[in-house]
Amino acid sequence: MSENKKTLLSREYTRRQFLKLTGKGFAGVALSSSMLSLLGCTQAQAEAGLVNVIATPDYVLVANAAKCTGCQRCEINCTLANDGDCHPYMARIHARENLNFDKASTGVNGVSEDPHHGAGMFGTWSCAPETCHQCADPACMNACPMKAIYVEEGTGVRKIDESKCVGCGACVAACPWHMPRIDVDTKKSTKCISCGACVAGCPTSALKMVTWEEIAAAL
Amino acid sequence: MSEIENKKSGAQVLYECLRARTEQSKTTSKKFLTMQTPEGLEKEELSALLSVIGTEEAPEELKDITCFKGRKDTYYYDQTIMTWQYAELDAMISEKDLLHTIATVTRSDCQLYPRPTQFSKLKDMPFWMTEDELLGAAARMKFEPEYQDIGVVTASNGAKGFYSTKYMSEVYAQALIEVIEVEEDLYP
Amino acid sequence: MYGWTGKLLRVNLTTKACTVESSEKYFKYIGGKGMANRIMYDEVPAGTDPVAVENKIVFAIGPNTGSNAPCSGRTDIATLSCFTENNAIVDAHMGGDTAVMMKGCGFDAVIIEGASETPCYIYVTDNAAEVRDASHIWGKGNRETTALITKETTAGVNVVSIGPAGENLVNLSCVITGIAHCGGAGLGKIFGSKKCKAIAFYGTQGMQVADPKKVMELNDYVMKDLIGSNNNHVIPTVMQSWSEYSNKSSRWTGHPGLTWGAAEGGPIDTGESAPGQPTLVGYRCQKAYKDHGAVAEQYTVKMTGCATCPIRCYGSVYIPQMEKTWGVVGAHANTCLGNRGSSIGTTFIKNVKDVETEGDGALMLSIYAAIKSDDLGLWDNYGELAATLGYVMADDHKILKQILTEEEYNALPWDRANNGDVNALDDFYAALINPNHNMYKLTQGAYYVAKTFPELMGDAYLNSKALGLWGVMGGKKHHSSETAAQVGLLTNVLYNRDGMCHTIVNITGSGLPYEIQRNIIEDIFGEGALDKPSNYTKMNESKAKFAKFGVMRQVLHDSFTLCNWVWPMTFSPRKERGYRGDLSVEAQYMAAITGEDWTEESLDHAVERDIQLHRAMTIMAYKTTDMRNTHDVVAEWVYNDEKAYTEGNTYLSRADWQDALTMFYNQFGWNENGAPTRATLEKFDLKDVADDLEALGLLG
Repeated sequence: MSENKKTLLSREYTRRQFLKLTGKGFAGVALSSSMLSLLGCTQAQAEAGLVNVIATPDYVLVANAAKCTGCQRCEINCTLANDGDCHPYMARIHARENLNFDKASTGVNGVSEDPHHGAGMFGTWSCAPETCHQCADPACMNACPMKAIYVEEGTGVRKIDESKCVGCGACVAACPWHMPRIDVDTKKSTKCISCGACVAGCPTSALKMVTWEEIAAAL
Repeated sequence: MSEIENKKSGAQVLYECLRARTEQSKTTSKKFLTMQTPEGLEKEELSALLSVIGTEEAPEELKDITCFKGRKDTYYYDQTIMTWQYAELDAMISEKDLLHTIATVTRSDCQLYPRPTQFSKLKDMPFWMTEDELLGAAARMKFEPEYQDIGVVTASNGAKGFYSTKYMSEVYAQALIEVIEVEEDLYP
Repeated sequence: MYGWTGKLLRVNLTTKACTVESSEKYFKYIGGKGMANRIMYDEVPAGTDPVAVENKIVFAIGPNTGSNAPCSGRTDIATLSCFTENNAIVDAHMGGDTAVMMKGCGFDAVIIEGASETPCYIYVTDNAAEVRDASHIWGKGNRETTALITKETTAGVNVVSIGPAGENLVNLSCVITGIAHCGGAGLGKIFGSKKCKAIAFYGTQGMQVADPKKVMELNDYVMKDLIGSNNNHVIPTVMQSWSEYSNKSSRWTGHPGLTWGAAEGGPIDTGESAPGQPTLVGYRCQKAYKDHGAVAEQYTVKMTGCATCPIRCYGSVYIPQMEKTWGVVGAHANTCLGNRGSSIGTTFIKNVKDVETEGDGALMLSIYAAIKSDDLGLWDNYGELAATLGYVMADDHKILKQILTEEEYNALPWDRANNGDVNALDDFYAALINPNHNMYKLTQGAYYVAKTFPELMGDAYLNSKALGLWGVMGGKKHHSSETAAQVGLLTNVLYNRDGMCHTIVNITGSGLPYEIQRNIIEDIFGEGALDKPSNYTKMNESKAKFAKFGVMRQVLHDSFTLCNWVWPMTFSPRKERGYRGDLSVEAQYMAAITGEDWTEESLDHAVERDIQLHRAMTIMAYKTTDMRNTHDVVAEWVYNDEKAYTEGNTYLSRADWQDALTMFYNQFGWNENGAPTRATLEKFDLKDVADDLEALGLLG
């Protein structure tokens, strides 16, 4: 077995273990002090469900809602670094939809019956960026008429085959969080490659990137 | 590599101790080091190392460390991460001579910025003085020959500040305390 | 196209037509304020009634907007003033997310013209817009308006709206976007006069930049080496191990032990954020603590602010007990006096009781007043409304009792107000925005208040220190002679409102010792440019250059766009740089974004074009070239011929002020009374403006 394959398999093991441990977030999970230090959050923040983890091939991206101030610099830093333009809508990390109201609420466009007690700037300030949740049963993949979305062997990452993608937007509609984006110029979707531009530019360290190796050590 | 070769030098031990304390925003006095000598360092070696800190003879490991004499002791810190202004202040506060601290800070503020030293500044980090301590110090300084230049001005909202006549007239101090305590809040 | 989108949107509220045009002919005005002013010049004749159907509202942004240059999320909005003398051109500016969203829609500018007969709102999307019915929203507060429009459009939409104050044509009314960002300048009334409840933006397009790598390098450079805290204060309030100085007046309040006390999951320490650490910059400004004192720390959830800005200057508090005590959700954010509310709150409500901890009553009153002001869209004009109310309520309400009818006065809840009943404030607010109540007359802006009550208030009021205007045309002091002597006051005279020029006060308030400030400023502008605080000298040429720089950068920032409450980078927090900043960064951004050859000099030239145009527009509104004795007349409180230039005061002398004006006019190539000459206008490619002025007999 090649070293590369070994690393990938060991990462996949860590990834599964980690996601099993955390589920969609850390709500109700007791974390070791080394894990808390690694993720840059407190047990209370984790327990309150404020710490959102996003698994990518090489890293876990940690978004701490307690520290997020809604500046959206992460979005533009993402496209400046990856696409050479300033295009917040196309960023692989999305802050704006959650900013004013709670997009995850049952209300229309995130405006619930009682928005002023909820998340967002029109509530009591909770906000955090989101990116692909890497679902176990990806609605985007199931909805794609061109079968352009696939699970990469070894990493388990949901990827898009650009040669098959026709930019129809079915994946955007199907995703419960509307995470995929169809580039208005290329008519294709792109995905996070863990470049770290969003993390390096977050002015309150609300974003943190942790390697699978570090996670494995802390588990 | 043998265990003996792997052992840290005394200079390295001392550096790590001083660096760690500097990182916690603290200077370290000679007395502290003598009483709580870092593990792995003999008193004689400590004494020898301290005597060369800040000189040409300081070992390579201790090049980042510098020292200065306070009123009661000598203080050491890592100058790559702490400014001497902060170090001097930290040492002075640790010596707990309230009147001296107030007068030194006041003279510096009046000469440098220029501005009176607000009571609110002295109640905050890193001084943490209380209103009673400040009023008591102001009263006591009137009777101490070395603090005859220190006076108190009060803004229209009651906020007080010390000033030094060596560097500032009472009229000027009075005007400035009004600016920094009242007018800046009105026109932010 | 790089930087600009190349398109402007025209929305005609009379016909409901929305059309897209090229914006390229305005590029030489950079964007934002420059572009909006030129559009106003081309399309709205001087002398137009601000509430007439012929008046327009121009939203504009610039090539830098949304580049992720720190603090590049500002929007400029130009229209005619409804609250200062002769209704000359004014700009409202605001932060929030509007500017970045407008760029996403693909527009450098949006012109709102005509007037609707029934309430409407404008929904702007990619390269398109529509005018929608707002009958069901009219009358509602800004918070509910945003919620309703979000429901009708899309998640993430940016809404700019007016509240009942704008609908009721209150002069001192603003637009609000998001939870707190306010475009003042009486803009709410102009929206209201057009029956336009709101404009909403949702765009998905990107902005191209010529050299993205250079833009990222510049971002990193600014974040690591140049930026401090709000107002670019570069010295922390308390000594930290890395700092050489501290200054209680600084807005770099963050320090170990000071927290966002009500953060989710427990307090977050603001800690040490030494220069060179971009991922900690957002902890430097704990603004709730700065504005409201130590009591606010425990209620601070976090700091928020505008899109792209790493300086989080909006103290965002949540005070749960306000709901039980006073029936409002106690969540509010703001960055400044603007709509902070404390001044209006304490003007009416006295003896408010603390609820849980010492001082929390006063804090909750302030937050309550701010929530109400923002929801109504009432604009306090940098403290002017509260100062006016304070003026008429002095001496046991002596003047107020003559302004209100006895019935009106007695119907107001004075007893409740004196007993600390915060809810009584609702009645006072209701009176202030009610066109049928005499209290409404006090919300016209100081100039019109004085005109309405010439005997009761008149010139004594206009010139009083308690009111604090910079000039008798009705412009509030923001900042004036308290900031760098003549320099601070001079920066006002180019504007038809409060100057909103923060360049100079960012310098004097930086927290650095005077000697360091002086050395850097003298290196740039010459000897004697910066006086000691409250210890002034007479006017000189260096000060005139310094004052010109102040307004040039303000106009640049509102055109580019950048936030003048942080920029320019005159100083740096880095001791290794000797605290010297870098004034070439804006030009470097301009070159990297547009791919064109821009220098500090060429950018200055473009900025000054707008200043010359703006001056011409003011002259046309005033119908005289004698600016010195009309528009530029400062309030009397500024002067004291005896005390001027002695230690301990900020007075100027009358004669010296006239010298100051002369030197300042010379800096811009104006005649002795402050009017641009043909040669000057033509130097800035404004021959058509010179021709227009000549035809009117108004050329300098």
